[in-house]
Amino acid sequence: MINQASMQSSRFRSLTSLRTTLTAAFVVLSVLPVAAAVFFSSQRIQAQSQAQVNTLLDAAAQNKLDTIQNWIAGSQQTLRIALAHEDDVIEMTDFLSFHKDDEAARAAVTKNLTDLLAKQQDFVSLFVYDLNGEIVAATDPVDVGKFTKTAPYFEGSLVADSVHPPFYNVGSSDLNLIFTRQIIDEQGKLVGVMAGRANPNTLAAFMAQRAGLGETGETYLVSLESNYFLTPSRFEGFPQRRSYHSEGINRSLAGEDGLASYVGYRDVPVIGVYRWLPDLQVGLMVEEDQAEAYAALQQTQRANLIAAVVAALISVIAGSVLAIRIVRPIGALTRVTQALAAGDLTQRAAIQARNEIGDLGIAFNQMASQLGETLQSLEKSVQEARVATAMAREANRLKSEFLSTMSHELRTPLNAIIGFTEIMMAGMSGPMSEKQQHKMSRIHLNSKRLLDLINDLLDLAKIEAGRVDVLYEPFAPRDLAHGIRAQMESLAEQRGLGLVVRVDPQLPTVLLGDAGRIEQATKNLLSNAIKFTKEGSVELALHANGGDVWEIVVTDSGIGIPPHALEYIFDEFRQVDGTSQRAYGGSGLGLAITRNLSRIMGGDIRVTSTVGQGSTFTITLPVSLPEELEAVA
Amino acid sequence: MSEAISRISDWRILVVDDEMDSIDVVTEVLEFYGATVYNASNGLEALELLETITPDAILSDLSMPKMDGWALLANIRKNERLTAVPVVALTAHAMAGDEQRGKAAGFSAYLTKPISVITLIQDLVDQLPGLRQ
Amino acid sequence: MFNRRFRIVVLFVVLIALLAGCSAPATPKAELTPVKVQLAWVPTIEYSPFYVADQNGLFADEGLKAQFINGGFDESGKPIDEIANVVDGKADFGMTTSEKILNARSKGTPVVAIGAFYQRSPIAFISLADKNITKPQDFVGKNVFVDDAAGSTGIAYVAMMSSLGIDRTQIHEIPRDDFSNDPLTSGRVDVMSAFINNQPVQLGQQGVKVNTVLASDYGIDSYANVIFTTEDMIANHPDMVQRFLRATVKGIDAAISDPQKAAEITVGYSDALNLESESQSMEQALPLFKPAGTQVGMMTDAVWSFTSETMVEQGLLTGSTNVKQAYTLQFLKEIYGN
Repeated sequence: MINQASMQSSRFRSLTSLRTTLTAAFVVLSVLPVAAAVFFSSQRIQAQSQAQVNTLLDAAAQNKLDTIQNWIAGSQQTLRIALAHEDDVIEMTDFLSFHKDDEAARAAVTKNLTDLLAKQQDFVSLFVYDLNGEIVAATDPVDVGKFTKTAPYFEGSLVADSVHPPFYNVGSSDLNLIFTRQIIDEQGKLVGVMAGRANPNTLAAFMAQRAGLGETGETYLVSLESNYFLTPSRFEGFPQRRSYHSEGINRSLAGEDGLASYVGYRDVPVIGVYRWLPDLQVGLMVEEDQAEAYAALQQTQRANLIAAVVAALISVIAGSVLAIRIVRPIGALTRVTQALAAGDLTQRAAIQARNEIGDLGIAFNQMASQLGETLQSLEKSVQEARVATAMAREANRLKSEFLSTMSHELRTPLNAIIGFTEIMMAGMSGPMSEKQQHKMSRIHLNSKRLLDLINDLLDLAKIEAGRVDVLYEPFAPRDLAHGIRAQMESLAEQRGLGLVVRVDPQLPTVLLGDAGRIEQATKNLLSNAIKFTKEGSVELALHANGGDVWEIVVTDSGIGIPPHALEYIFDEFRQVDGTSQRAYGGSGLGLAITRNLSRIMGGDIRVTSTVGQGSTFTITLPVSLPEELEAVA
Repeated sequence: MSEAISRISDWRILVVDDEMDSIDVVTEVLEFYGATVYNASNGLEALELLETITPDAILSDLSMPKMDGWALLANIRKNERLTAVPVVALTAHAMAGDEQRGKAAGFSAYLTKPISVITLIQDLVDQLPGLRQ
Repeated sequence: MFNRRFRIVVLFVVLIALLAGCSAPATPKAELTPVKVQLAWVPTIEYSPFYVADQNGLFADEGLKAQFINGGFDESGKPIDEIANVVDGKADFGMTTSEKILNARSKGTPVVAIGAFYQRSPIAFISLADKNITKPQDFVGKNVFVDDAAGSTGIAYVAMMSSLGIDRTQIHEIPRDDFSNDPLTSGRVDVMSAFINNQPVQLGQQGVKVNTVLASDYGIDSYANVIFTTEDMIANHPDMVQRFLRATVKGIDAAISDPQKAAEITVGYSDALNLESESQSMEQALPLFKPAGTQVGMMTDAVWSFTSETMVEQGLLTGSTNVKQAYTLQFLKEIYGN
C-alpha cells in the first residue's frame, strides 16, 4: 500500500520537481551554449570596441602632435628666413651692435621685419631685443623700448633658438606664444635675439578641431604652471586658469605617453590618450567620455543581452512544455496507482502516447486487471475459508452438544438397568433362585460392558472434538508406576501372570504432565497386555530416551500381532483379525483412545510385535521439567 | 457401615427425578435400609413438598422439566429453614467439568448415573457429614 | 534569548559611546597658537592667499590660528601704520611694500621680509584708450597724476622716467589728491597710476577701455606686498615663522589653483567687495602671484637690489642701509628645499 505521506505533500509539487529538473536541464543545455557564445562574442565586441576607440584617440593625439610639430617647425623656419639674406643679417647685426639709437637704422630694420610679417602667417608681431633685453625694433611700435629681461624666454633665448612654453603675462589675458632666434654677427658673436609672437589663438584653434571625437571628445593642452589649461575646455564651467588634476593629466605632465581609462578632470570616467610635448613643455590630452565611447558597444551589448534573455525565455517555455509532456503521463500513472492502492481496482491509466510511456501505460493496465482478478479470487477463497471455518466450528459445537446429550441420554436408562439389576442381585427385592441370580449377573455384566462402551466412545469423541484439557502438573513417574502396579497387580494375579514394573533411574524425579491421562493410557496398554497374554509376564518400563523424550514401554509375551495388522491396530473398533469381533472383550476403542491420549500430550505411540511371542507398545512423551528443575538440569 | 446403616432408618430423604425408574432404584435401596423416602418429579413439585417437610437430604436430578435441579437448589438455599439441608446432585451429566460446576453451584455432593447401588449408602455417608450425626 | 539581546544592547551602547568620543576632532585637541596678521589695506584678493589658507585649514595644519587685522585707515581716519603695529607687538606678522621695509630699516626699525605675494610689480599707468598713450614717452605733454615720492608708485614713476631718459619737465605732473577713478574718467588727468589688476578691471566693468603702461615692462620691478615680521620674532620663534610662512605659501598655491573660489572666499571677509570684480581682479593677479617659471612666495636678490638702488638714487634711502638685512630667503628655502 503506497504511503501517501511518503510522497511529496502535493502531487502537483511532485510533478514540478521532475518537471523543474527536466526544464532546468533543457534550459541549461540550450541556453548555456547561447550564453557562452553571447558572452565570448560580447567580450570580443568589447575588445574591438575598445581597440577602435583607442585607435581613434591615438590618431587624434598623433594628429594634434603632428600639427603642433609642423607649426613649431614652420614658425622657426619663418624666423630663420627673416635673416636668410646676408644683407639683412649685416643690417641687423650692425644695428644691434652700433646703431641702436639710430632712428634710421631702426626704421630700416623695422621695415624688414614688417615686410616679413606681411609675407607669413605664423606670427602676429616680431621684435628684436639686445642682450640687455631691451626691445630695439618691433613691428608693433608699442613694443619698442620695453624690457624683456624678466620675461621667462629671455635667458633661454640667449642660449639657443627656442620656442618657449606658452605663458600668461601681466596685463593681458592672452597666452604668449614666443619663438626666439639668435642674431649672430659675422664673427659669430651673439648680438641680439629676434622673437616672434604667434597668434595667441593658434593652439586653441588646433585643439578645437574635434572631428571624430563625438559629443564628449576633446583635446587640450595642459601647462606645468599650476596645471592650467593652455587651450579651453570644450565644456562650460571649466576656466583655463585653474589647476586641473586627473590621472591622465598627471601622467602627461610627468613626461609619460600613453592611453588609459580614468576619472577625468570633470569627475567623469574617460578614456584618455596623454602625450608629453618636450618642445613645448606641455601635456597634450585627448579624452572621450567612456559613456560615449562605449555607447555603441553598450547598445550592442544590451541588444545581445536582450536577445539572450529572450532566447532563454523561449528555452524555458519550450523546455517547460516538453517537460510537462513527459511528466504528465507519469502523473496520470501515479494517480491511477494511488487509486489502486486505495482499493479502487477499476482505475486504468488513460495514456495514449505511442512511445515507451504508452507501452508502460498498457503494461500497467494489464497488471491492474491481473491484480483485480487475483484479488477477486483471493477474496473468494478467503470467503470460502471463512465459511468453512464457520461450518467447522458449528460442526464442532454440534458435535459437543451431541456428545453431552448422548452421554446424558445413554446414561439415564443404564442407570435404571444397572440399578435395578444391582438391587435384585443385592437381594433387596427378595430372594432369587440360582438360575435367576446367574441370569441377573449376566444382565449386570452386559450392562457394565455397555457402560464401558459408552464411556470409551464418549472419551474418544471428546478427545477428537478437542474437548480435553491436558494438564501440566508435576508428578513423580516412580509414584505413578507404583500406583499403576498396585491397580493392575490383582488383575495380573488373577490371570496368573507376572507383572514387572521398572523405572529408569536416569528418568527425572519429577516431570510435568497430565498424570491422569498418562495413567489411563498406561492402564489401557497393560490391561490389553494382560488380556492377550496366556502365560508369562507383562512388563511396564518407564525410561528416559535422550534428554527430550521419555518412554512408557509395555511388553507382553502374548499372542502377538501379525505385521499387516500393525498399521490399523490403532483404528477404532478394528481387532487384530481385521474383524470387529471381540473375542477378548473390550470396547475395541482402547488403542484408539490410547493413541489419541499420547498425541494430545505431545507424544505418540508405536508397536512392535512378533506373532506367538509377544508385543511391545511404546508411548513416547516429551520431557517437560518443572522450572526450578529445568535450571538445574 | 453398620452404624451408619442403623441410623438410616432415621433418615428422611427427598428424591427428585423426572424418570420414575431412576426414582425407583434409589427409593428401593433406601427403603430397604429403612429410610423414609419422599419423591417429586420436578423441582416445582419438590418445592411444594418441601413446604410441608424438612428432609435430612435431598437427592436431585439436574435435567427436569418445569424446574431443573439448579433452580431447585437455588430456591432451597433461599429458604431459611432449608439452608442446612444438603442437596446432592444425582445426574447422568458426567462430562468433564460437570462435577466442579455442580459443587460450585452449591451441591453438597455430585453423584453420576448409573449409580452403584451397592455403594450408594456409603457414598452418601462419606459425602454428607450431616448424615452421620 | 534574553542574555543574547542584552549583550547586543550593551555592545550597541559601547559602540555609541566610542563613536561619540570619536566625533570629537580626530586630531588631539592641541591648542592652536594664535597669530595676528596686520594687513596693509582692506580685504581684497591681494590677500586671498591668507583667506584661502584660513578657510582650508592650512593654518590649523601648522598649529596656528590666524587673525587678520585690516589696514588702510582707522575709525578716526588716520592711516594705519602696519609696520609700527607689528613692531609694537600688536601683530606678529604684517604685509607691506618692500619700499616701506627699506625705509623702516633705514630708520633702524628691525623688520625683515620673509616672502612676497606679487613677484612682479603691479604698478601700471593707465589712460583712457582714445588718448593713445601706449608708452612712457607718450606722457610728454600730458596731465599726469604723480603720487607721493616716497611711495612705491611715486618711486616707480620717477625710476621709469629716469631709466628711459624722458624729460619730466615736459610732462604736466599733478600731485595726486584723488585716489578714485574720477579724475581719469572726467578727463582731469590723462594718466594716473594704478595696480594692473585693480582700476583697469573696475573701469572695464564700467565699460571704460583703458591703455596700460606697465612699470615692469620698463624694467621697474619691486615687491608690492611682502610678508614681514620682526628680527626678534625670527630669532626667538623661528619655528612659528616657518610654520606661518609654510601655511601662507600653501595658501598662495591654493588660491591660484582655483581663482574663482579664492575670489568667493575673499568676498566673505568683507561686505564691501563685489564678487565679479574680485574674480576678474584675481585673474589679472595670477601672473603677479606666479609669473611663468617661478615658485610662489619667492623673492630674488636682483629685485631687492634694484629697489634699494632705485631708492638710493632717488635719495629715499641712505647708502648705508644694508638691503640684504631687509629680507631673508631662509624660510623660503626651507619650504622649497633649495
